[in-house]
Amino acid sequence: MLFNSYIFLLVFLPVVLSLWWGLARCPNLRLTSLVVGSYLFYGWWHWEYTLLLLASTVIDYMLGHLMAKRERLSDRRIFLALSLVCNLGMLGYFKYCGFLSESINGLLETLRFGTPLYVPDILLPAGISFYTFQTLSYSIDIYRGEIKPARSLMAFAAYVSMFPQLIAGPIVRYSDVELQMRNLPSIPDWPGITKGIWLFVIGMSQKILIADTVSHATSPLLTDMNALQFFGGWCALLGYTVQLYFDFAGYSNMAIGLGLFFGFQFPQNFDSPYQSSNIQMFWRRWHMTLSTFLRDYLYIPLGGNRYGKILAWRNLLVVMLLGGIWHGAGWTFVLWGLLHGCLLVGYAMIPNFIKDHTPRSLGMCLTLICVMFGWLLFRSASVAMAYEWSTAILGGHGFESNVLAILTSQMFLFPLAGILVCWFAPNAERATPQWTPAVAVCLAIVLAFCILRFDAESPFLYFQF
Amino acid sequence: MAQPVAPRICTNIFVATLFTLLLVIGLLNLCVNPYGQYGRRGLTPIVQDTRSQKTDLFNAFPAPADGLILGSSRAMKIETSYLNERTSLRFFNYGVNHGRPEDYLAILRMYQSQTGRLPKAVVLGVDIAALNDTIPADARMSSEPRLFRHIQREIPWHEEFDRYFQLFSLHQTKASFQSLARLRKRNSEDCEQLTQEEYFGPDGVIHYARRSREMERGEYDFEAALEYNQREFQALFSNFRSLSSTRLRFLREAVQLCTANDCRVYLFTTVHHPRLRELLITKTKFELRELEAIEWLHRLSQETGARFVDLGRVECFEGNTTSFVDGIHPLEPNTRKMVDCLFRFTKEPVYALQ
Repeated sequence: MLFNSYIFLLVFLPVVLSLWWGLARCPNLRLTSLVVGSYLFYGWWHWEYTLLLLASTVIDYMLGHLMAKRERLSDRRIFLALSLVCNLGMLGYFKYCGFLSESINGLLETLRFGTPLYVPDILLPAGISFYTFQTLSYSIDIYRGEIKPARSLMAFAAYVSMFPQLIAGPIVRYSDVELQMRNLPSIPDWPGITKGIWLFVIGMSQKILIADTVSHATSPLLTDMNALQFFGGWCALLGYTVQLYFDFAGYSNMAIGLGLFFGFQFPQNFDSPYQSSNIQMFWRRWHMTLSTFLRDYLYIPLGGNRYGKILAWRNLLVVMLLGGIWHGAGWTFVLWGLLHGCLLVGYAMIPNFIKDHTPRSLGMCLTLICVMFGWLLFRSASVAMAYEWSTAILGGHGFESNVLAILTSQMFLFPLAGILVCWFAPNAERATPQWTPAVAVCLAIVLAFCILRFDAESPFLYFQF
Repeated sequence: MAQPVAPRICTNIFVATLFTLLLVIGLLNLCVNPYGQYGRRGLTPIVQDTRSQKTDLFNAFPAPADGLILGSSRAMKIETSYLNERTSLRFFNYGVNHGRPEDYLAILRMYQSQTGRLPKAVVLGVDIAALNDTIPADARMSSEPRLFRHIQREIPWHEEFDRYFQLFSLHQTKASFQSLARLRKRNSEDCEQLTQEEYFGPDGVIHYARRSREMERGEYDFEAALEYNQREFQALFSNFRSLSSTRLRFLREAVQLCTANDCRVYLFTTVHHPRLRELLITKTKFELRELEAIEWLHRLSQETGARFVDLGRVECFEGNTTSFVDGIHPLEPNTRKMVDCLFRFTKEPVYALQ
């Protein structure tokens, strides 16, 4: 089910919310209603994949309890290893099996050994990368003794499957919601709910009114890469840069807003990342829950920056490479991860004197250009497409004769307006308005308009990861 | 400056405003009913309500037709007179807009329930796009009770929901306003021209009045029409992941219903203009879906004894690329060749002249 669909907003959400607050006196029943609702939400596309979600939940719940019973770290390790094998094995099979077989076949074909491996055509279960990371973080945190295991399977199932953040984050750790799960609110927190409405409407507008509109204006440019020229290439790139941000930030805002409707506070996921004046700051403000996940569960265990600069840079490269692969099974994602690793290492190499004296606006422009080049890889379906697109934006495919027509067309003006919003508009989390009747009416009108646009149903970009 | 109000009151104002807005929009679209999806009430739909029109024409047809032409708008130009020459049967063209297997089955069942038998022959044009697993049954079908009651139980329940959700869609709201604007022009010349754009003969065959006039004058913009199809079909095929098992089941049932009742079935795949085909092949998985559909239709033909001919490409029936209204609708010179090809090498049963 999509947030931007009639069935979700007009049927599913009112029913689940009514049950949640209607059953406030029966904590177990309301958790059950949330789990059933979330499984329905998830199984709306392919009900079979709810079994995968269930398996992941049961396995990690059991392993968590088994781990918690062991005092010694070495005793816990076996259960942690089991959890890692199950979660990563599942992710590996569904996400990377086809890519690996294809890549090995490609290599063997180059060496004239033919293509001996069968390439399975596996449909990626939506959100698998997100909920796998959540269950992994749960197991690792129990292993480290940082959290206690969930008190009931239903509570843990509610944490894993909670529909607002199930498909595309934010990646909520059990420690973020542990207390909230234990003390479920029995009466609605109205200030929280109004903030939730604000974030939900803003998120929906970001998705429907900005991301989809910009995509409609610029994505046709990428249908024929051979015909793509300099300005068209840049418009398409700027368009995708804007689309991806508003699409994903919109989803995150909606997810956080929905969480607040139920009385849960999820961590912030975006903090105006395109306003960052360097690449390090960008990664602290873009998909923040993934960045902190990678930092806490990968970068620091690898050694972080504790063993000198060289090893810290190596760790950065490894983390970003794996982050890239997490996003998708393809060489373009590998390159995207490597690019960001190199950018981060490169930034770390710059002397502090230069960093301190670089004007903020120059830093913002340079950072945006680097990030945009990364999005070019991210958006490309293949390395060949990325090459063609890069050639186009460097002028290798020539220049359009009607530049003025392009610069005054929506394919340039819409992304430009989007970028200006990214640069100058405050972040939705911080810009919560003073609630007055006029604000409530305005938000209702905006949401009603968004609902009218649901007819052109468009999934969120991050659903594919 | 307005004073902040208690969050609970604001939440109530928000919900009440949203509810009121949606109610107003929904009621407007329900009353105006611009696409004729919610039964026959309100204003004249701004699109052709072909299921109702064809059913009216079919009922007015003198004695039940001996043969039916089924399919989508792409089969509407197949001339009954030309088929009559080939088979001596009186045909009725029951092609309907966005006709899909559920429509074919409903029409055949309705024919059977009305006459107690099935026609002697059925010519059925299958659109590959009509086997898409992601598009629901055409909402206008459920607003034609004479057809819909024959298939209602087999249409997934949520599709009925979808029809009502569309009450809150921008395209329907826009269409409602267009419809209201047209109401104001009801007696004007514009409106007269609108109603004369396309019409059906008593045998159900379509007549492109406006387009024919423009073609005669050399003013017809074929490129614009083709471009529209290219956009529409690219979108249609880009999310076409596999052949719909439900639609294949409906199609099989339709064909089996005919062959089990001594009704000869002539199946064919409808044609795409070469330029549209080329675009779909390069941009979508059209070729793969087409191949799957053709293989399936061949198997169905072997199982049931129905005759199947692939006419998806102009070369299949030695047609010409100029006899098209747009990327998907062939004109008479092509539909005649398609009929010739469909009936070539077959030993048609000799039917008594009616």
